[in-house]
Amino acid sequence: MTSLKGVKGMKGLKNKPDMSGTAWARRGFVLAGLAMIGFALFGGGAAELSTSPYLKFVVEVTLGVLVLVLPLSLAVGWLIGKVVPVLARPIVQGTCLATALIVMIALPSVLGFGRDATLPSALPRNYATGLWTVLAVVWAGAATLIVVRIVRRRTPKEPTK
Amino acid sequence: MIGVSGRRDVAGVPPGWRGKPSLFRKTDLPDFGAPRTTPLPSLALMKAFPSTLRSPRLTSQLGVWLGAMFGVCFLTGFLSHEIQHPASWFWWPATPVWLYRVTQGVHVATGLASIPLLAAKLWSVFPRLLNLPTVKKWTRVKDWAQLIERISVLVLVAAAIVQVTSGVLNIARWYSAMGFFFTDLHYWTAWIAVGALLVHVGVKLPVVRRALSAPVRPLRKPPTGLTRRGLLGAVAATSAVVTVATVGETLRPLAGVSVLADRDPRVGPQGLPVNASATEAGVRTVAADPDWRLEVVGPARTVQLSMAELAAMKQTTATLPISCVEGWSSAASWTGVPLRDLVKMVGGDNGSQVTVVSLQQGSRYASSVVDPPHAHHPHTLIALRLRGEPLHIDHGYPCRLIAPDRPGVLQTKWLGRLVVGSAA
Repeated sequence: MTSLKGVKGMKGLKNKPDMSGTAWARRGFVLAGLAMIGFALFGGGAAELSTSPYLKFVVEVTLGVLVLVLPLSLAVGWLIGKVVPVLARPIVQGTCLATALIVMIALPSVLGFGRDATLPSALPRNYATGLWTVLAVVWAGAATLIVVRIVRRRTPKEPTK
Repeated sequence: MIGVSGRRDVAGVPPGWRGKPSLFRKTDLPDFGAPRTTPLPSLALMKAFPSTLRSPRLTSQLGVWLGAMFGVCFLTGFLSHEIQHPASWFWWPATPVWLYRVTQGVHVATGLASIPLLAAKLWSVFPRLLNLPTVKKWTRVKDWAQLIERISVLVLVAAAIVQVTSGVLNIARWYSAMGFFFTDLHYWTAWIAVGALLVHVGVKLPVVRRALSAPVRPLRKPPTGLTRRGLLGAVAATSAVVTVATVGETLRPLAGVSVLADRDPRVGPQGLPVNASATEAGVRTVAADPDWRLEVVGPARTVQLSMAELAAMKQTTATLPISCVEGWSSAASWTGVPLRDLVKMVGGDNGSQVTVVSLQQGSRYASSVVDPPHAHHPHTLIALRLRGEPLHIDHGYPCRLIAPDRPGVLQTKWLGRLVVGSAA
């Protein structure tokens, strides 16, 4: 929000506390949020949240997403904008987004580090095959949509009667 | 994705990207074109991210949905935590028997479905996130509301990423990638994430309201990439695909198509998954010992019962689900002695609380407490059979607890002792 300086008739309000329902609701949200954070940091979770493996994990995954994954997706998006024809571009963009997310979600299962020889019912599937299957379905849907777009563009519109 | 085009709510830098709202001054009024008192947030940076798709409207729409999903995850996760570590005020019913199955299934499914939304939300605010750590920017903090907002955004982003990442690693049982005990830290990080979310909502509420209520201007030129609706549609479709590909771990009819589900409710000893094997628990020898006895300690007497004596008692059969905290669940037919019969045998009553103790040593799940609503329920069993057959050792042979509407980690296996006491 901008300052009210220079706004006709608003000068006197500059330092007056806002007593509207919305302002009180906002204060309520902020206070409740701070209370929850305080409860976790200084209450029950204090000991666990300050352990070094946890803090290391927080730093690693946050930086991994913000410094690696997001910039990489931006670069791929930029590349799509350069090389994919306009007709297919939105569909390819959307499908690449879906592909990246599905791969990230499936990756721990595909890598299978959680498998245990004494526990065959945990991670019981072939997740690489599963991932390829899901991606094949997604890209088949995308290809269908691109074909529909091409056909629609080539089919001349009938004049309105 | 960069390079996409769409609509911008107003020309130039979107309105929500300007300035910071104050919580205590009347600064949440519409922008009357007043001169700016704070410089634009780095025009050079905005040029590096030329997508016209980013707008307060898109960010607000994503934020509303993401906030709702995080809210659902927090409430269902809180319930699960309270069931396992109940506060003195907390009470959890024994019926309907499927309630925990639903709440925890929703928790995991919603968490997975929120990942595409979180990714899109981070993308939509990415240029502003890059502004956060610069010293120059920090020195421009004008009031404490701005300071809180910036810290809360940083905390919110980190906590949200940690929650979804650790959740995905946990259901894939990749515990070593975390290096800490998942359950406790997922719980406490949830408090931080939702707390930061509430602070963020409080600070950004006027921006969100204005962005969602303002009319959308017509496009100046046709988009060459995803539109706002296209992006929202792609995010929704991705969430739907992720859900269908995983939810079969608890929705049995979808088990065949959920090819990315970390469990198959049809696969496991006796057609039922397990989360800890007898070998892993180190009970394979002691559980198979023919001299095994179940010791039942009560206020009036203590008894020791062999398998044959338990099998000779009145048996009850009930169809109950095993509902894991990791989101999978599967129902089966269990047969055994009602716990309340054993409670009465040693002098307990309907108000008694029972501690069930496993033969397993050194595990935080080696014992659990059964409160009166569950202990007295006719379908809370000391189960001897599963689907008509003696329990497989991985399912808890010689006997295990199976009770309605409880998490799987509290359905203690390989029982050695029951202690009946007062609920007080």
